[in-house]
Amino acid sequence: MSAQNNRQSFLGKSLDDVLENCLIGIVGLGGGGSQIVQQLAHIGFKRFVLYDYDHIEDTNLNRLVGATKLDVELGLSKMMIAIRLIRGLQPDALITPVDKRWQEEPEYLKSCDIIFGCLDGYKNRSELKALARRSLIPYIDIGMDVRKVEDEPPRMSGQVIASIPGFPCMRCYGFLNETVLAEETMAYGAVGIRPQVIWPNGVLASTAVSIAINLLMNWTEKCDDQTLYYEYDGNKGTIKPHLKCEMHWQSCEHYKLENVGDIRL
Amino acid sequence: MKRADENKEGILHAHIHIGRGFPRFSRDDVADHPNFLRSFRNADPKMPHGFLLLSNDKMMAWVWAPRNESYIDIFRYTIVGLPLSYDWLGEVR
Repeated sequence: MSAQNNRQSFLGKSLDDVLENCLIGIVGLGGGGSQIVQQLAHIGFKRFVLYDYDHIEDTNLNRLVGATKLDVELGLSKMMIAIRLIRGLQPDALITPVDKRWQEEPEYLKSCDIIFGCLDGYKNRSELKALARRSLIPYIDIGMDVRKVEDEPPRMSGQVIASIPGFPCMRCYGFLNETVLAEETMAYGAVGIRPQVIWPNGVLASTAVSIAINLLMNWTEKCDDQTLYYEYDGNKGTIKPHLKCEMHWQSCEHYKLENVGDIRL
Repeated sequence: MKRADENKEGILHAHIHIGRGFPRFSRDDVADHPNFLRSFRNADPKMPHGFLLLSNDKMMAWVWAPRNESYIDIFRYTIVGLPLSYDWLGEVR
């Protein structure tokens, strides 16, 4: 075990090997993705595939970790900010940056050992999850929302869902379904300003990273009992296993293991 | 073979060599590969095919890309489950 890892050596003897070799994909480097980048770089991961095509704006500074006022003035890309963040902690990291929509160049994702999805929208998530399932790659999705319900205070909620091949997917859990996908399509272009703040993203990103570390290291020795769907209640300040985790899933009906690989038309 | 033909799937012929550590194909294995590969490619020439060799604790594979006479030597693998199992000793070569 390297001296650098002596405070996290409890994670297991293979930690150095995992940090050196595990290829992490992160799609979306905004409020959620930037926190995941930061945590993984601190932990010591050294191989990244990063996707984001956006540039930093003033309105991102309330939540994008690593970003500064100067970055906004210079018009830096979110990618550059993420790379700077990683390089500051892991100068020899191998980073594959893709400054496009992930759908335009998905090939790099297929080599990843774990993919983190930090995307807006159900359709985008559904497509990324499908790619991960067909490529037999664990996919960990985070997202948050703030809704105004009539005269009540705003409701802040969020979720972390780990979609592991052979286990329930986001459709099994009911998070993705035809209704929400159709509603999103109908509302296309009329979503308005999506409320986003830094602290729920911190909770969700930390939870997602903790799942990934347990998947890789099994330091709890109970990874087979790992919660795969957490729900966050920002008003109460709680994050807990979703009720649907208690259902006894036999297998995923939506992504059968025989339906893997690229779709060939 | 029938399933590969019908579903356009690649085929990995798998067997085990008892022992620990990365296994290696025997001389007999290597001698048999061309005949197997010809049959696999008859089933679907557009898919990669190959041979997976297991030991008690490791595995490796040789995989031929379509229309390619040389194989890819695979030592890096991940077994997807809870937890993930992996061996990254060797890169895909």
